[in-house]
Amino acid sequence: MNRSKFWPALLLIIGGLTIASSGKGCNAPWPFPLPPVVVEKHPDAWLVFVEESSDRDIDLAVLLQNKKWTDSLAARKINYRVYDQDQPEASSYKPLLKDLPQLFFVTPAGRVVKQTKSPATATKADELIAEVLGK
Amino acid sequence: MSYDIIDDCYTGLTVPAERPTDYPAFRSVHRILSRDQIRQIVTHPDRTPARQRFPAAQWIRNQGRRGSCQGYATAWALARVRFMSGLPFVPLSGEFVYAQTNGGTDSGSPLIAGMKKIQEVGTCREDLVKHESYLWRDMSEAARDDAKNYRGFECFRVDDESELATGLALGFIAVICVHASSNYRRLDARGVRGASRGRGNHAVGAQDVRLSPDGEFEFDEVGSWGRSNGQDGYAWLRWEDHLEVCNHYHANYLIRAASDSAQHNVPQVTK
Repeated sequence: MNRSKFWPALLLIIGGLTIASSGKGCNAPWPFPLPPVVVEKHPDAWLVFVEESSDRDIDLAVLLQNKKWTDSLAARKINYRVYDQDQPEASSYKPLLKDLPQLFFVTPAGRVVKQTKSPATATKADELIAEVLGK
Repeated sequence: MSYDIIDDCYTGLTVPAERPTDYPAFRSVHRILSRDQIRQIVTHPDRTPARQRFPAAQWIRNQGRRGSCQGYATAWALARVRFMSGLPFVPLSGEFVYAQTNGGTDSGSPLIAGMKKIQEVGTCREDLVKHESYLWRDMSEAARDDAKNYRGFECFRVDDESELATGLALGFIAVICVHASSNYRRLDARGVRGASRGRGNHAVGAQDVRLSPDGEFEFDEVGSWGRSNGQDGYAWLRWEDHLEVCNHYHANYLIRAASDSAQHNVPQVTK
């Protein structure tokens, strides 16, 4: 065996031995699983809804009149705010608007960590909150 | 004093020379929902009736022995709009609105004056103003400065029953006009006020809508005569019996949104 074939052959032998010693033989996954990706959570992010109040969305209207859900936000110490897109306070969000009503997850420093169409139900809103805030 | 007192309850709404039309009708900017759509919203299992969202112990006030109904209706409608927008509960002063709109005497005020003032000046926190005060000169600098934090953002005029029902179902809060009388003070078994038709002498809030067993809209009135009035301060109204005639003289309105206060630091997008 010349030197150019020696090192690849050695690596194959070591790999085979590693699989064999795992006790799983050919059932061992290949390639080996990657470590799980850690997604950064933003527990202090705000939920900022931006709507066109002259075309108020029925799902958003029901969500904001859902006391169980709004109380649950308070219990989880989650801040939220609803703006009409034409309010002066919504001006920094306006260039980012796509499909109204929009929901922004925004850190206190003003970084948008997620932007999406406003969820249709409290369950979907909570799924987004779990994904972004980890709460 | 030039307003009605009904069974020792003070009113205070004055009739404008002409019905105001200088701001947009709700119908001109928003689609009107059908009765079935409104029924679906107000009976939706996830939606909480307004009386549970705004419990009387926290949200009902008494204007006392002044004609400040319009100030109270306006201030507490704005307080509800703020809360619905995610802002914290802050009791707002009805006297501060009234003092801006009564011309310097305790003689009542028109609905439209309050609507304009909550957009231009705002109202301050309740604890900065003495109860039953009504003179603008008695409003402190601290109160005037505080009012910048509590303002409404645009309003929609309400011209008919379907506009009011649509707006309330969608979570808007209204300021409306009724004609208080002895019959108005009586409630039936379902909490609906006795019929009382007239030019309008009293301003109240409206926070919800429901459908009666016969399929008619009923509107949840927010009073300012304390919790001994109506059902813990609330009562149900019908368009034909309480609002239709008044609507010829006054323009009821829905508050579109509320401004931020300086104490509430909502993040602005930086990148």
